[in-house]
Amino acid sequence: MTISATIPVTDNVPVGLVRRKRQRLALPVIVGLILAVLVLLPIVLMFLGAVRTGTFVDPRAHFSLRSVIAVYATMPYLKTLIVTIGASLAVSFLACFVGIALAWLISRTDIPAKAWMENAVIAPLYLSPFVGALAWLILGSPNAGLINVLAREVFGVTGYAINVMTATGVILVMALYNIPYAYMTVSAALKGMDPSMEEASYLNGAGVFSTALKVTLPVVRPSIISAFFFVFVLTCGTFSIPAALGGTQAMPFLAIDIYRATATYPVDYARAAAIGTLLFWISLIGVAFYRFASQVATRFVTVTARGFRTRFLKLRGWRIPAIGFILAYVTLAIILPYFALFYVAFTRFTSSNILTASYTLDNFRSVIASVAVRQSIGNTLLVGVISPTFCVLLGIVLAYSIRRLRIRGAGILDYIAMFPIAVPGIVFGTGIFWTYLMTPVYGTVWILVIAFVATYIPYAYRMIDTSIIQIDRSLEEASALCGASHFRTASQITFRLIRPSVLSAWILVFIFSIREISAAIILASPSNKVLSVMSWDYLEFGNVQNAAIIGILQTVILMAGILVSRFLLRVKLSQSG
Amino acid sequence: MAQLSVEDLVVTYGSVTAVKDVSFVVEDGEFVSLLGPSGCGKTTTLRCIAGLEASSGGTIRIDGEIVAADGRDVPPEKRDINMVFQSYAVWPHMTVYENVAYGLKTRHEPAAVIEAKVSEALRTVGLTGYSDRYGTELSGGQQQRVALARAIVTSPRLLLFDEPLSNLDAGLRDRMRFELVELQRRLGKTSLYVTHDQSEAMLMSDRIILMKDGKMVQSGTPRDLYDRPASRFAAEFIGNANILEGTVAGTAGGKHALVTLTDGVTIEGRFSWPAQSTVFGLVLVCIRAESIILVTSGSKAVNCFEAHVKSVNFLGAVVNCLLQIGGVALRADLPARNPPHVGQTIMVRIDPEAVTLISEH
Repeated sequence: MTISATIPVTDNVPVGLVRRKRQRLALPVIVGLILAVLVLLPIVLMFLGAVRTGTFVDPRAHFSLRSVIAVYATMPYLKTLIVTIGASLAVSFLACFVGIALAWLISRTDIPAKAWMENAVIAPLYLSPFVGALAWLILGSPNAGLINVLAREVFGVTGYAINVMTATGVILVMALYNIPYAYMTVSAALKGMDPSMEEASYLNGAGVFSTALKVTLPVVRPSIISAFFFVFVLTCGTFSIPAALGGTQAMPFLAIDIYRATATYPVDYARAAAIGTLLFWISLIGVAFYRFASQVATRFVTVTARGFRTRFLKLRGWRIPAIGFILAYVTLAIILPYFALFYVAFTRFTSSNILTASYTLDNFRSVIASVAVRQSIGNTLLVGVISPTFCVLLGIVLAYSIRRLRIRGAGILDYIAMFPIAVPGIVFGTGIFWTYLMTPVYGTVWILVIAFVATYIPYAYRMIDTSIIQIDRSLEEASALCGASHFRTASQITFRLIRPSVLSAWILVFIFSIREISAAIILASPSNKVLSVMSWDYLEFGNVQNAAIIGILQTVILMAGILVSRFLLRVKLSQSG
Repeated sequence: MAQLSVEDLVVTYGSVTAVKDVSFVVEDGEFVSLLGPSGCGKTTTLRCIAGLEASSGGTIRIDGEIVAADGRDVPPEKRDINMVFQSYAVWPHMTVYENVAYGLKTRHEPAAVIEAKVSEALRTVGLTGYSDRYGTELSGGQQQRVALARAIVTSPRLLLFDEPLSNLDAGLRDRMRFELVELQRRLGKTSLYVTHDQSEAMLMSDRIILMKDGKMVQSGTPRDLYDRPASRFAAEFIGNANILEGTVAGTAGGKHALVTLTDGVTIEGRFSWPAQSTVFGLVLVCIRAESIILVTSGSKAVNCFEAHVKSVNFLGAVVNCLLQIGGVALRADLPARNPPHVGQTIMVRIDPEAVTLISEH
C-alpha cells in the first residue's frame, strides 16, 4: 500500500510565503512606554518626593528622611494608620455580611421581582459616595440633621436621635456604599455554583440553613474573602465619606491627612507623598490578599452551567421581612439621601419646620447661574467624556496586542496595566502631582484626564481583555479563510464583536470619572474644578445647600449617561445586571 | 478545484510532535476524510492546510502551487480555499446574508454579482428566505448551513471540513451527512473532511486516511479499510470487530491460512495483504460481529462451530450475543427474528473471507 505520491520539490520558494511568528519590538516598546509613564512614573516620583524637602525644581530642596520618619514612626500618623486599617476592616466586615445576605436572598430564594431587587441593590454603585455622604450629613448631623430636627419637632426628643459625624457614623455610611461590591462578587459566585451541590445536600437530609452554612458558604468562601479585601482596599483610600462627615474631628483617616498636607497651611508636599507611600503599602498588601483569594476562587468554581433551573427556596412567612430588608437597604442608600438632597436644594432656608417648608427653585437658579458652576459642569463633561475614551482606546490596543498579536513582554504589560488596582485615587493624585507639577498640563483639566486614565485603565483593560478572550478563534479564522486581510478581520470581526464590552467599559469609566473626587481634589486648581470638587468647596465653606445642588447636578449627569447607555445603546453594566 | 498534496508534513510544539511525516494527495474533486481518535493530529493537519497553523516541516501544495514549505507559509487569506468549522463560526453580529457575502465583499466583487452568488449559495444549502436573520436566531443545523454557504460561495479551490457535524444532534447529523455528500458530488469540489466518527467517514468519503498519534496508519477506500484492516488499531477503530490472537498452523491455498486460536479451535482465514501470506507464527484474527452467521445444526462446511450462548442483548435490528466457542469468546450480531436463548447451543459459520488475519510484526 502506498499512501504518498511523490511530487518533485522545487527549490525556489515562491513569492507570498511568509515566515511566521516574526516578533516585532516597536509595538511592545511603545505600549510599554506609554503605560510606564502613565502608571509607574507617578508612583516612583511619589516615593522620590517623599524623601525631598521640596519640589523637584526647588533649588534649595535636598534629600531628607524627615517626612518619611514623621509619617512612619511618630504619633499622630501611627494612630491614623491604625484607625484607617481598623475602620476599613470593620467596613469590609459589615459590607460583606450584608452583601452575602442580599446575594443569598436574591439568588437562592423565591423573593419576587428578582431583576428589580438586584438593580436596586447595585444602584448605589452608580452614584457618588461623596454625594451619599453629603446627604447623610444633611440627614444625621447632630444639630441641623433632618432626622434629628424631625425627632425633636414630632417626637419631642431632646438632643439628637442619630449622629453620623462620629467614627461609627463614618464606618456605617462607608459600609452602606460598599455593600454593592460585596454583593456583586458573592452573587456571581453563587450564580456560578453548580446547583447539584446543594441538591445533594438536601437529599442527604440537610435543611435549608445547614445547607447554606455547610455547603453554600464554604464553596463561595474564596469569593467572600476576595470581596472582603476588595472592599478593604477601596475603603483604605477613601477620602470622600470621612471627609464629608467631619474630617479629623469624627475620625482620622490617611486619605484626609494627604489632602490636609496639600491644602492647608503649612503646605507640605513631601509629607503628602510620604503618607501616600504608606497608604500605597497598605493597599498593596490588601491587593495581594485579594489576588490570592481570587485565584483560589477561580479554582473553586466548578461551573457546570448546563442551564439548570435552580430550585428557589420558599420564603413563606419570611417573605415580607426579606423584602423589607432589601427595601431598607435601598431606602438608606438611595431614597432617604436623595430625599434629603432634594429637600435642602429646593426649600428656603428661612423655613423652620420640615413639615411646613416652602419650596422654591431660586436656589437652584442662582447656583446654575454662577460662572464657576457652569465652568465646572463643562470641566466635568469634558473629563467625563475624554477620560473613558482614552482609557478604552488604550485598553483596546493593550488587549489586542497581548491576546491577538502576542507581542513580547505581554505578561509584564498585563501586570503594569492591572497595577493601578492597588493604588487608591488619592495616592495616584499625589504621584501625578509630583510628576506633572512643572509641566503645562498642571492646573488644567488634562491633568485630571491623565490621573483618571491611569487610575481606571485596569477596569477598561480587563473588561475588553475578557471579551477578546471570549471570542471563539474560529470566528476570526473563518474571516481569514474568506480572504480577509488582518486589518479587515480586526475591523469587521474582532472589534465588532467586542463593541458591547467596549461600550460597557466606556460607561463604567465615565461613571467613575464623573463621581471621582479624591484625585481631583489633590490636583484641583481654580481652572479645572469638576462638580465633585465644587461640591466639596461649598461644603468646606459651610454652604450645605449649594453643595447639595451640585451633588444633584452631578447625579443628573450620571443618570443621563447610564440611561442613554442602558436604553439607547443597550449596554450591560454588570454581569449580573 | 484543484489537487491537494501534502508531503512529509511535520508539526511540532516545543518538544511535542503533533504531526509526523504525513503525506497524501487529494485528487481533483475527491472527497477524503482524515479519521482518527481525538489527539491523533488530524485537525492539526487540516489547520496546516488551511494556513491557520504553522507547519514545522514538509510541503503543502494546492493546485501545484506551494502554500507551505520548510516552515514558511502563505497566510490563509491568500490561499483561496475555505473551511467549515466545528463551531460553525457564524458571525453573530451579521445577518445570514452578510455572513455569506463577506468573502465576496472582501474580493470587491460588484454588488449585483454578490447578490446573485449569495442567493444561489443560500438556495443550494436550503436557506432561501433566511437572509435577514441573525446567526444567533438560527438552530444549530441552520447555522451549519450558513457556514457551508459561506464556504462554497467564494468558489474555493479546496473545501476543508473540521468535524462540522459533531455539534448536531443525532437525527440531524444523519440527514446532514447525506446532504453534504450530495452537495460535494454536485459541486465537484476537492474536499478534505476531518472526523472522529468512523461511520461518518465510511458513508461520505471516496477515501479515508486513518491517523493515530500524529502518523498515518492506513489509507484507502472505506471498503478497503473495513475488509482489509492493516493493524489491530484499524480493525478496532472501524467496525465492530472481535480481535483474537492465534498462531498460523498452515496454508489453505492462495491467501488463505489455517490459524489455531487459544484452546485449540482452528479457523480458516485470509491475509488482508498478499505480502503477509508468507508469515508464520503469531497473528491477529479479526472477526466482525456481523460476519458470524447462524446455520442449521450439523453443518459440516468450513469454519462451522458449535457455540454456547452466554448472553443476548436486543438492539433492534439485531441481537448482540456473547458466544462461547471452545475457550474463545466472540461477540456476534445475529438477526433479531428468532434469536437464540441464553444457555442454548447453536451452530454458527464464519466465512473464511470474513476472517481477516493481521500480522503486526
